[in-house]
Amino acid sequence: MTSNARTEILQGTLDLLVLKTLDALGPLHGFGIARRIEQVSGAALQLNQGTLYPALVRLAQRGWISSSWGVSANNRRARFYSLTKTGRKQLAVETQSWERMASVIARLLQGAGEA
Amino acid sequence: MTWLRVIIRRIRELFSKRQMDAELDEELQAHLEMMAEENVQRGMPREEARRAARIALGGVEQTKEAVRDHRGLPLLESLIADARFSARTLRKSPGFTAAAILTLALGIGANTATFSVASVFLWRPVSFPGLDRVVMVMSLFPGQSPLMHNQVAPADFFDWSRRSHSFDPMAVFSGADISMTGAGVPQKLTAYRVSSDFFPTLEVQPILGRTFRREEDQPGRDQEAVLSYGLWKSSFGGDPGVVGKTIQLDGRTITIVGVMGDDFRFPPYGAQLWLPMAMDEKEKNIRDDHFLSIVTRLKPGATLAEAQAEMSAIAERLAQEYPAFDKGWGVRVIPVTEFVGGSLGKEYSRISLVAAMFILLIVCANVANLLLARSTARRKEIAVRMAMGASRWRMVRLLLMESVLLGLGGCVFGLVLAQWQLHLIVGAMPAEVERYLPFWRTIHIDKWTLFFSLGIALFAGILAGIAPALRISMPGIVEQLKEGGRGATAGRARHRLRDAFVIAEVALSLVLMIGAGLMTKGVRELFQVQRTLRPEALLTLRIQLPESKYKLAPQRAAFYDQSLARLQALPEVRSATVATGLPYCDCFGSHAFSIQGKPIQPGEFQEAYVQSVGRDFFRTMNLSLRAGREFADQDGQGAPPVAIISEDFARRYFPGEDPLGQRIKQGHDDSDDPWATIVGVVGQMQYVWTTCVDRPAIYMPYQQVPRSYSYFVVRSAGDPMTLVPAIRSQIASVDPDQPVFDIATEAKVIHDSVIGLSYVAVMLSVMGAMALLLAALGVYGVMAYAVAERTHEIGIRMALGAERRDVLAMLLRRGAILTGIGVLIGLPAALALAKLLASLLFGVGATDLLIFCVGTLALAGIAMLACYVPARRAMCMDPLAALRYE
Repeated sequence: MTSNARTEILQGTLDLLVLKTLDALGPLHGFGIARRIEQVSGAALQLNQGTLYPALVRLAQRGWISSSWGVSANNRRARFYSLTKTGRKQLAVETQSWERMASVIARLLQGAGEA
Repeated sequence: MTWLRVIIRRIRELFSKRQMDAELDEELQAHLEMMAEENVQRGMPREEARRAARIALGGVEQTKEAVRDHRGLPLLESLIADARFSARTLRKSPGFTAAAILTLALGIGANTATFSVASVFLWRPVSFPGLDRVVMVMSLFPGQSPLMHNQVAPADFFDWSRRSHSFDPMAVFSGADISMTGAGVPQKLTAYRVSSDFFPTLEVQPILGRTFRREEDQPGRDQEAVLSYGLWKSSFGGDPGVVGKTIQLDGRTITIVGVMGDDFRFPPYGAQLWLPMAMDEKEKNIRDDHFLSIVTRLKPGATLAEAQAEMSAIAERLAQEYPAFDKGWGVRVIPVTEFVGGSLGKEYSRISLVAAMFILLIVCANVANLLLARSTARRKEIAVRMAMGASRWRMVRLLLMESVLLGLGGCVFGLVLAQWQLHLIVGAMPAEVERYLPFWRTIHIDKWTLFFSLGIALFAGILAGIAPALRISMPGIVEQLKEGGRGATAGRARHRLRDAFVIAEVALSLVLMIGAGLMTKGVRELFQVQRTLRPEALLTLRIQLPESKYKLAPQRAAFYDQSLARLQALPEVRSATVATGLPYCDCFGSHAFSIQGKPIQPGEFQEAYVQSVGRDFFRTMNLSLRAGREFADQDGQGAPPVAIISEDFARRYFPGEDPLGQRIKQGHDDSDDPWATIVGVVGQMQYVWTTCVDRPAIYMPYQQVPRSYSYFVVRSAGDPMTLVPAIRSQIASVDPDQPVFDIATEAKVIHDSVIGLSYVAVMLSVMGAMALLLAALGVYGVMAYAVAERTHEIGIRMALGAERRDVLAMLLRRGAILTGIGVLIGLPAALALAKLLASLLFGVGATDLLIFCVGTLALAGIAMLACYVPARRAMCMDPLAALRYE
């Protein structure tokens, strides 16, 4: 794999991506979430799909997502994850803090470029 | 609260592992198949599509492992695995395990028993609802140690009550000994007069009837009584219909209105009966006689410190308003637990807790040494584990698990030991003393004690294990291992660690031994002080003359006159007298006094024990006359008042003057008491044993100041207790209704008074002996190990011509150096402890050279003996055998 152009997922941002995906698409199984993240990011983000599952466990433990068994589009039994009420609140919080962080960093980088 | 939810989930996950594993399995399979299908649709061959899916996932097993790490409580689970492994290893070396567990059990047992006793003294000597908000407000003598607080004058009480805002209503109580007739034999009761706020403030309810009503603390309306559970059972047979019955108290008819439960024992001095406190206007304005105790609750939100600050400010204002009475007097607000447990009880509890902690530290040092010796044998195993990639932290954790398991094992046996010890401690308290300790019978191993010993066990396990664990898992150790086992000298660092343990043990046990020695000597001294008294031949009996029958002074004097005449006529009686107080009787209140021509400066404070005694008092108590004369027939009623003072009184208040002929009186110089002329000076008598109170004595003849309460003191030619029936019948022949109580020899009075102290002394001695034994074992262990380790070296030395003496000297030198360093560290610490003890206990000298020398020498001697045994073995070795020794 040529990974120079592809960015490793930042520590802690995977949670945010998962929450956002579930918020946008509704209940989804693990593979679906992985697919969606890869699709949206194009080839820019390198996702080791296996790392998704510990993240799902973590989010479920915090009560931000819940899961239930259901049937996938091609008739296969799969575990579907969905956002809970606290998860939605958490998403708002994290989105906001991410945006604040990103804008600070952007400003900082710009400022550094001008100097 | 997210973390809480996470923990709960994780704990739940512990119990559904198998199902979760299966589900994860199915989920990952589904993932792979969906991915593979997509790949096939894109045109990959089926096999290739599956492989690509697995690569994208990053490995099924790795993913499962990663998920498992996030599930359940992996740390706990691996700890449990460690524990299982450690338990197996320990089982394989039963000798080591048993030695370590028993040693730990000694330390944990000593701590648990001490804690059980101390916790009761410190935290719950009484049981009320909301105990931690209940406080006592006490007076503080001018210039007095805050340890000794005093009762409160009524006028001060009303002022404090009006001006303070930190408290709920203040309740007061005051002791009164009264005689009860009308329920079997006349008996004397320990009663307390209490304000109507008393029971509501403590938030206690009677089990029968009611407590006092507000109007019942008016003079003339105070005709009710509340019984204690004990009195209800003993004198009324637990009669459920007792409420409404009447009894005769000091000749007055009183109605029983209620009965308190068995667990209500307050005030803690054996209260049998509570009466309403009815103060008239005159009494309410008394400012110079301190006889009330205040109990109240802190208002919600108020802290002890705030309340203390408020009261101190109030006391300062009062001192300005009434300088003659209140100047210099302070106020102290103390938790009721401190009042009941006693401030000395608190100090002694702390001392014994510290002593027990010392034992635990010595125990830990011993176990650490055992672990260190054992870890040497496990070096290979550990080096292999670390070579295979186990982290150092992981190794330390494993080794610590082992010592913690030992600690828990020690905890189990320690609890058994503690239970046994408590049984001894609680059972050995005489009933006469126990009634002053309402909480004594409640001492047992409760849940707090269990928590405590568990905590102690974990602490000991970790403390004992940490140094050996860190040492053995040191990175360099692997290289050392590669060098091969056979070196002439091994691991300097390990030696240094062992040496440190030995030094610590020696130092700690020196402190304990000296502390125990000082305490024991101090208690012995307490008995010694009274030796000239020959207390075993003195019989003491208390008497309380009821107000109704003996209102007038001549009536009281006549009672004593007649009784003494009859007692003195008994054949076995050498001499008989009356006195208002006895050495160590805990019944002394000291009183202010004035000297004519030497007015008390406001803010100054002079008090003395004022005794009203019979003419034979000094002869009976073996007090010698130093100047002037004793009391004589001429000092009767109506004659000029006379007094005799103690030597220290003369020294302190008449330095360089002749005290004879000077005039003194009780109370302030404007009090109603007449001036009495000093006619004699007698030797000093130690009336109390704490150094906090040290006051001179004034003696007055009972004919001139007959009190309603007194002791009869009889010196007998033989066993004083055989006189009791005769004395009882003689007193009954003077007044058949008059009860006599607290009959005991003075030796017993002294013994009971210092029993708490004797307890502490005995406990400290036991702990001191334990410390010595443990330290000796520790030194022996280390030396024996050192000899075994150096056998080869010793063989070489001997083969090269070293004499046996040289070998012995070499080994002993090391022991001596270690002991010496330990002693040097221990002595200053022991001195600090000695200073603390000396401030608490009369007779303990902070620099008692004898105790320090004997303690040090004994410890050094035992330590050297512990060195000598293994050293001798080395000395007697055959050099050839030693050389071949592996």
